[in-house]
Amino acid sequence: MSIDLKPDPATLGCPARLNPLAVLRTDALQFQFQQGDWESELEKLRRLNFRAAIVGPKGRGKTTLLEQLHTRLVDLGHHCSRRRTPSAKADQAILLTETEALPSSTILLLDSAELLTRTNRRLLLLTVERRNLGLVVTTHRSEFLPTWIECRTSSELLHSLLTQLLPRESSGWEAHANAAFRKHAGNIREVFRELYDLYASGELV
Amino acid sequence: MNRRPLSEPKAASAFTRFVPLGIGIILLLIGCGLFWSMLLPPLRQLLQSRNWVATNCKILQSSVELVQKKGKAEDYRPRISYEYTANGNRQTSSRFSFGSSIGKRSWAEKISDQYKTGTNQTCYFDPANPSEAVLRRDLHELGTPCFACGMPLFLGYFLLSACLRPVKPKKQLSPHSLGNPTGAELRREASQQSPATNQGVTSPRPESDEIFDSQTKRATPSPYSERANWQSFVGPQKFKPTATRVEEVFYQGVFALIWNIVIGLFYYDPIKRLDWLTILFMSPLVFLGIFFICLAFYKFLKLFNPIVELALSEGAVPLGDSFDVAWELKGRVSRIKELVISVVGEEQATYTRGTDTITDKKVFHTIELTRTSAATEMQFGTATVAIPPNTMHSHSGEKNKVVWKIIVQGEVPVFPNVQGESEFLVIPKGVA
Amino acid sequence: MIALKLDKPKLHYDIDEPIVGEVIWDGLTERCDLIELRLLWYTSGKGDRDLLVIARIAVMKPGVSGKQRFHFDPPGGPYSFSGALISLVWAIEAVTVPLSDSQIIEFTLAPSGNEVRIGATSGINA
Repeated sequence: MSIDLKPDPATLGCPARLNPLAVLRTDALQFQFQQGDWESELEKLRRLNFRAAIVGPKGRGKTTLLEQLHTRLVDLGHHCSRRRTPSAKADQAILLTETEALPSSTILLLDSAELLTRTNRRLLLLTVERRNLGLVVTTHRSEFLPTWIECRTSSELLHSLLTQLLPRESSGWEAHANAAFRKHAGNIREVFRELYDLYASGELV
Repeated sequence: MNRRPLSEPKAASAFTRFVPLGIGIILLLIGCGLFWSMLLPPLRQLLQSRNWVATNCKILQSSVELVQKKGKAEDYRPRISYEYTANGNRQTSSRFSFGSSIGKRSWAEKISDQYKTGTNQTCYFDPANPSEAVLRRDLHELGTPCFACGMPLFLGYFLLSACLRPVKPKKQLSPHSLGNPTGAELRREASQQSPATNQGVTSPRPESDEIFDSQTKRATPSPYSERANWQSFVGPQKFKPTATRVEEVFYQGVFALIWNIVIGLFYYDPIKRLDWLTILFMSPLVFLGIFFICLAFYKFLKLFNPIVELALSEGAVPLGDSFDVAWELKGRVSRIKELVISVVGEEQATYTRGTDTITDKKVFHTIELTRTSAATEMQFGTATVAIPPNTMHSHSGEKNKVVWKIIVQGEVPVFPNVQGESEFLVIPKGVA
Repeated sequence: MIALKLDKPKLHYDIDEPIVGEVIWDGLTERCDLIELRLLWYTSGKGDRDLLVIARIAVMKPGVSGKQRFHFDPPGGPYSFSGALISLVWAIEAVTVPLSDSQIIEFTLAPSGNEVRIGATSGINA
């Protein structure tokens, strides 16, 4: 492993807190539905009895959507519990136990459900059924719950998000954004991280 | 518009531990019970059969029998009956081996072919109970009982270890290895002046709420951890490997050996039976075993490289101050083509989403202490390092850190390079 | 409505300076039990956020409107700084409990009061 001891030439670039692609800013972006809006999508989720999956590959906004769904449901008076699926089996067992203890009618919002083992998935569904809970998960593939939303990205979506993030006077980012979008096969999170570096180094302003 | 406070914590999760603890204990008991009932009897028989008597026998009947069918999978058993003489009495038996004697059709047919009807073979009988006999004194089809016992045992173990795992206090600094093997750990020989108080990074600490005067409310913040903990790093510091490289090679080698022996034992049966599904399923473990062997060899090659020892005149340096560094290379220094020792300040930012955790690092300050190809200069040297006053001190957050360290890089042609790094503390002004 | 005001107009504090100011509120409901002032720092940049509240002051039963002066002793560190990957920002946040409103004011805390900028610098040791 070699360590680069010759960093970039002495330019301070953009300080982290002013970087338009800082995590605090990208996390604050509102999820954009391809079709419909929050009202219509929440209605769809109600028809699914609050048991559904948000599906899509990495970096498509699934976690963002889940977090914003949490806020919306709480504002509507639902009792919600948001968790991230642990990768260790022992911790998954604890998660199942915790789910067992949730009050009836709680909606469990579970991120990264693809990490659940098959057995734990079945156990979770049984618990949810028995305890009359809601369950909305994010997952890479729709395997054990009906799909509520399939998160997809496009270069138009990326441009729309970047327009919200970047200063108006910023220019020259479109080409970099398009190239990064192709390079990362639509993973917007990775595109943001790549553009972050360009702003940090001063290559983009 | 109501704004969500920045300092409100996100959804926290509280784990209850008693139920999984109970489940873990039950699973362990089930696993032990299954081991007692399924694995122990055939193992015991196998051990006892070492005293059994070998004798000639005649195969009376040899065929293949379908035992069960699960969908497309079929289990077969060689059905072999034979006749033998024990203590002057004629006996018959149809027991092939200890264990279940169940397998694929091709295996069963192969056994049946080996023990054809009418042929003379060798069997083994229990002298204490001559009616008990086997054709083969081995264990077949251990996979199913091993799996049945192993699963609840492993699950129970993991559950218990998760529930009983103690909460470790966060380390203030974690010195990395210096010297040749990157896996070796450095131990500070620091003079302990006062016990360090670790400060949690994200947990809020309510403070006293004295009234300063009738008009103003006053609070005293909890002490900044980099200020509170620096005393344990003050004074001269010495860095040397704690585990010798020979020990490392030994442990790695032993681990690789044990791993490959265990995998080999599990692999033997499927290979014998040409069970391609099991062979394919277990192949990642074989590749892992090969990797461990390569790692042991890599560490072995590093034995021939020199060891670097560092000494600092001060382990906790205030901004704007300077400290002395001395280095000594022990071993075959002539192998090193070029040695570079530097002090760097580095930002480290960690980002986690789903299963991905990425730590980005960026060096913001570099001070090169030496760059030399001369063996005499490599063997021993000193330098005085001046930390700039207008830079950032060491900071260790949970996700974001500012780290200062000494980096040693020695290029060794053909063999693994000498490389390592060791952290020290840069503290805010006015602390010392 | 909540407003925060620090005594120093430029919002630059040296590390041994106390942070003194005033919180003013108006139009709160009767249900508001307290206003909590939190002295905190957080990080922003390419990594996930670290945040630490290091001191709190509670204003009990604030009523519908009023004001309160506050004094936080010097925190001593960490410095406010900005690099390419991480910025560390100091702030005071006023939060009503139960949560309905909040206000935040950021300031810098460093020697000479200005944020420490770190970037790509290197040199050969003499």
